[in-house]
Amino acid sequence: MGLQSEAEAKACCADLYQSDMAKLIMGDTLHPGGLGLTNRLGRLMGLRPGDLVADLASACGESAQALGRVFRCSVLGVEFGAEAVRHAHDTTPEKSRARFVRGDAENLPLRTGAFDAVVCECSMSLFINKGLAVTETARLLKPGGRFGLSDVTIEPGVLPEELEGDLGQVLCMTNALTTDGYVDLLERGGFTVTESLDASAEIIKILDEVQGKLAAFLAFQRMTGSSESGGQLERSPELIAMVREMVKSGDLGYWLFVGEKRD
Amino acid sequence: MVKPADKAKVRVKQDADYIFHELTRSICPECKTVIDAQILIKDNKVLMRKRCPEHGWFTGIISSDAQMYVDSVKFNKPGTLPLETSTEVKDGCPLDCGLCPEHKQHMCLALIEVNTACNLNCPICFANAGMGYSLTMEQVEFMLDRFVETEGDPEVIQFSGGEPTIHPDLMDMIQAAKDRGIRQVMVNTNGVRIARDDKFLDELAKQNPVIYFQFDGLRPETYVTIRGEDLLDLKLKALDRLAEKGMDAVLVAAIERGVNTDEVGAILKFGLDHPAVRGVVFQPVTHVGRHIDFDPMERVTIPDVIHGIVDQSDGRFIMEDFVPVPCCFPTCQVNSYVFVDGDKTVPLPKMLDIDQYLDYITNRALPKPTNSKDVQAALEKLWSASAVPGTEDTASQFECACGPGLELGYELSHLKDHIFQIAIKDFLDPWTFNVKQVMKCCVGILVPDGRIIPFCAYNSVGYREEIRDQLAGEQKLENARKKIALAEQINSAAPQSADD
Repeated sequence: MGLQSEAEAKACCADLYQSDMAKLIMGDTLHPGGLGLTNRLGRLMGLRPGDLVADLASACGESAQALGRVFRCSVLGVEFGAEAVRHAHDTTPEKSRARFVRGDAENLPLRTGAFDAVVCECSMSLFINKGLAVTETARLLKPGGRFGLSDVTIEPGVLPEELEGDLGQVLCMTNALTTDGYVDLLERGGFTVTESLDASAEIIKILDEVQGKLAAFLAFQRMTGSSESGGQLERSPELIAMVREMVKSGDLGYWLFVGEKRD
Repeated sequence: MVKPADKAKVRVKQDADYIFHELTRSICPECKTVIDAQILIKDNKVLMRKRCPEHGWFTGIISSDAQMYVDSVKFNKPGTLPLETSTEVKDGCPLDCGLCPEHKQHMCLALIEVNTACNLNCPICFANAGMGYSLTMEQVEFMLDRFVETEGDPEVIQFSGGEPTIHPDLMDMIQAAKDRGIRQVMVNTNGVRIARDDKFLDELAKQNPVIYFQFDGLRPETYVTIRGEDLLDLKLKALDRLAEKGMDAVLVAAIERGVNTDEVGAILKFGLDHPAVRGVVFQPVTHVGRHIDFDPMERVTIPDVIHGIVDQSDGRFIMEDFVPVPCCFPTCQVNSYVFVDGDKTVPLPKMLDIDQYLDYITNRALPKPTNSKDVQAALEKLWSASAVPGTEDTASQFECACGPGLELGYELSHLKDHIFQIAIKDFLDPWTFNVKQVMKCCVGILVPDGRIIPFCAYNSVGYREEIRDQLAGEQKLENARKKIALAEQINSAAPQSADD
């Protein structure tokens, strides 16, 4: 991929995150299902006390720290954004089992064959060169090591025009794969897929939440007569209905996969 | 022919002086045996009358306003079933708790009582705090995991006791709940440690749970009666210290007849004015655990508290501002929300007709606004045992529900500081225990074997005693083991006997 393009993508995410729309959509959660789903992934992977785990695209380190505490394993978070790594450092207590380094998922600065497990939450869809990220992951793992992946799934050609571009990008939709696409990706990268779990209901939960917040926001705007955010917010109920329909029909989803590294 | 003298003896059928409302099941206050119970309406009051074959008849008041009691039925929302249950139906409700497959609602809120020890010794304590047990981190983690398994994505957990702030692992326990994706964590406390321990408060502020703060009134005598000593200054100091840290608190007032029923207005006003306080929960004192002498016909019930608020708050509230909570059995709790801006207070029920959205039985076909689904969803979240005041979620639901009726000039992140919750929660005790309510209870106590026991069953039926005995026994055994190990260590390290 281009480091550049990831940097751009991340910068774009950061910009959008400042906007009302993104605040409404993302709220406090970094990915669908929040830490609850992170834990589910850890259980599916069978994380054990003492395991050495890498977290790819660890952002501000919330998941890495939680996994360390819940499963009592050592977690090394790798994140491209320098600011995020610094933040993760600063908020990590001395006794934490998590540590953070800066690095690119396609060229990981970590030792070959040293890790028991690798997690990658809602980030594979953002990587342009996914194949490289998976081979890099395989390189890190001991034989039989597990790769836990959670991400947005989307059928090709179903993304409505309104959700292409920046908004689709921040919602991890534009470069996401189909469920078969992820399975293929893992199998080709040297893994046998042992678990796959449909967590699409988590998207519906986010939509419910967003719908509530949006209704509040629009009521607020109608009252104050302000319309700073322009037409995009007014059209949001439509967009939400559209996304809801996509989840219902199976065109859009959120899945967890676990792959075991082949010998 | 009937002679005049016999006429006086003619028997005349008498009307009963009560209405037989329904038959339910309860327990004997003496022996806890499950027995039938009649619910009767008399002089606009609702009574429970029941008979234990061994201990005879018991009659007690369960609501001082029959109209309100009967009207609340329509707020009964269909339950949402948990993902998993933990026990089988064997002896029938309430003896199979944990939850059993016949339970009618999932758990909106769960409590973990992390210890039994307390730094106070109150005459009133439903938990009968004192010697007993202190949970380990591993036990708490297992309970949290079990809660996640049964609920999927639990929303609220409350750490309680005993007194949870004296448990050395409290901060790690709060973190463990957050690590499992539980978004709202509350700590139920008497405030002693918050008032006195700077380092503890710093740590607590970092975790920033919502503080469920016992606060029974503004008169020293109230504390002397309920808590055994005058704690007023300490309480005020603790709340000011929470405000300095920017933390949110909910005042929890135990209300007992003849002690502080005349203080409900003052407590509410104090809460509305205090910068740390986001809500007040009034809890009529339950007569379980430790309690002072009482008359079951004089028990405080929900309508008494509402009347108290209405009478003691200079016309700021009316009876209709208080609406039953649909997720549990609607006779268990009423809520209200208030928009507060300086001296201005506007109760949410004044801004929209809540019945129109939360009436699940009569389903009145009134014209509804186009956003009625959103409004209903928002109200259902506000009128739920999982609503935590002082959060952005609550603020957004409030705004969604009543937006058009109110001139709000605040961003959501600020609005949360202006939304105030009032809840009145009538927990059951052995005199008011009603199986019908327990079957739909949505507040549960997590216990170390992984069961979740409805709060009122836990306190009234004997589960509390069972769990405490078991855990205290295990702890004694564990302590004995440690002592033996230590003794062995010392012995083996000691110099050999003199004849070496």
